[in-house]
Amino acid sequence: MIAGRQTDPGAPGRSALLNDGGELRPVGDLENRGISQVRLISQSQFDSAVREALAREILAIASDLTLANPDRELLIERAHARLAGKPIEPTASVSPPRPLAERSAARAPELEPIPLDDPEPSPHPESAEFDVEALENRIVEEVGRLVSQNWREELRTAQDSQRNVIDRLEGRIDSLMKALDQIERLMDHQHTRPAEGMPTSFIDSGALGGIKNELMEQLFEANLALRELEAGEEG
Amino acid sequence: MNPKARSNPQVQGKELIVNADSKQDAPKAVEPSIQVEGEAVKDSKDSVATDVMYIGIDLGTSRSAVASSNGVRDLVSSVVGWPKDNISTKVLGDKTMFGEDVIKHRLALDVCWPLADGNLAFSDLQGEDRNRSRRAAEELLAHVKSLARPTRGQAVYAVVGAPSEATKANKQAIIDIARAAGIDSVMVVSEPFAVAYTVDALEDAIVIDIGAGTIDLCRMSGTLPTAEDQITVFKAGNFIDEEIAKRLRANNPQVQFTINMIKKAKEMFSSVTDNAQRAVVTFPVDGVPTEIDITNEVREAVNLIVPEIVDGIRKLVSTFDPEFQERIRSRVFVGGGGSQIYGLREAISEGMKKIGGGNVILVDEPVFAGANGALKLAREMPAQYWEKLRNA
Repeated sequence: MIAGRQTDPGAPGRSALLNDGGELRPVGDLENRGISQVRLISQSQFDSAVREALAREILAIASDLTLANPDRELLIERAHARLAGKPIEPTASVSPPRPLAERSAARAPELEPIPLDDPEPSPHPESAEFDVEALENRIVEEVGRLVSQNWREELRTAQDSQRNVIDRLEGRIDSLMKALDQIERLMDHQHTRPAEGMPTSFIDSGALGGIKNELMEQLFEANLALRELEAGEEG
Repeated sequence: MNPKARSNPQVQGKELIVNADSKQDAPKAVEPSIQVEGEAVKDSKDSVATDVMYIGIDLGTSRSAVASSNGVRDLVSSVVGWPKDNISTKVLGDKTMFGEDVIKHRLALDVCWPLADGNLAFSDLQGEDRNRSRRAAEELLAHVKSLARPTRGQAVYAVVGAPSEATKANKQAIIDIARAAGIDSVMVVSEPFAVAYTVDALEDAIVIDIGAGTIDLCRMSGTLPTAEDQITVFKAGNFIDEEIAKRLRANNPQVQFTINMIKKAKEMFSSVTDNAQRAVVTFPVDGVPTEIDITNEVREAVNLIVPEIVDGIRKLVSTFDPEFQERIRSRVFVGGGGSQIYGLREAISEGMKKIGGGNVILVDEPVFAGANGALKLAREMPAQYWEKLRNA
């Protein structure tokens, strides 16, 4: 959040600074809310900080920028100068960018080579001089587009990965539910009418089930022997 | 109790479960309460029924418990009474009475306890006494069966728990009277085995069933217990009652009481711990109701069974595979009505320290543990076994 003596929150030059969800509030308003420790920075300081951040970003992605070498060198030189605190020429002779409509759709994610004026004569006949800040704005726009595209791809990749996991889990749950349903039906059948020929090993597949089956068989044999003994005595 | 469920047992779901009242200290039949859960099973008032009802029966010297596949569980004192003369017939009706009703009207009834020391008493009797005791056993078992509320025409398959040292003759007698009581197919198991089955303690465990007539100790090693795996101690609930009575008579000769009053007092205040509540009962003294503190009498009498139990455990452990003695000592399950004695688990654990220590576990619902295990066994027994026994 930036605290500033904001008098016109809708001013065009500031609206872009509010895109990330931050907000500008009058200092008096903050003080009325009990916030006494407020660090004030001027609009120019803020602009400078943004430009420094942009310069760092340009240096970081300089090798990936598909710009004509002189253009890239000029940008890098300006970025270094800004970070070093050296004075920067407010304007420079550069060739204007081609209209966006002329750009190849297939190359959209990449920065178009933007012809900048070299000390030598420009190879482009349509070259004309224009403000270098306009070029920076275009670069910001392109960088933003690339970043947002990369972010969307990241997001899509993450979603695909999660979807795969979810699909696998749903498949597993489905197969487990089917198995549970089958077991419940067998158990119900066993409880209401213990089935002849029903695979008891299926009902009690564990070690305990094995012991139980063995014990039940022994118990049955013992009780059968009791009856046979009784029948023998009666006979 | 859930009256709503009782009025319409099929309303909420699939299975009718009838729980005995949690108050298990009185020796009378427990009024069941009903919860509705699971698949619908009709009670005896309905005409539709499943083909077979499975029941588990713990035929005890003092009380008999039944658990049924329709969810019913019930308890009844193992006593039968018939009107002793024309006057009592006129007052009470010409019918056999059971449980608490017998105790209530005992002066007007010819009373018979058909079980003694956990076994059917008639096998040791002769002549008319034998016939009378056998008839009482048959009628008691038929009554226990009826408590399970089988539907008309429904076959009843029962597993009946017998004392661990019951003789073959006694087991045969149980089968005979079960058939006479209208049970279609019956299987006899040792009572501790049934308790073990209910808690799945089928190997490397010792199960102790503390009843009125006997304390049965049974070692489970994954096979059907043999004589070597079982010990019966003939100092159980009834023994404790007599010991309390003996001490009370000696300490308070003027107090008037019966053994049944002692039994109730013991179950209300059973304790073998020093910090338990005082056991104060109201017994008549020269006809005047008087409060009597019987704490010491109860404690001394109950403590008499602990050494017997510990010695039985020692014997079963010492003759077990040395490699598994530690494990079997750590799995000592205690069930039966006597296991409700407050502090008993701690007392047995304390006693076991002298033989190397161990872990004593009280089973849930100790009074129904044997019946529950018998029912579980009945339900899991393959159908072909039941059919073969039915036709044998």
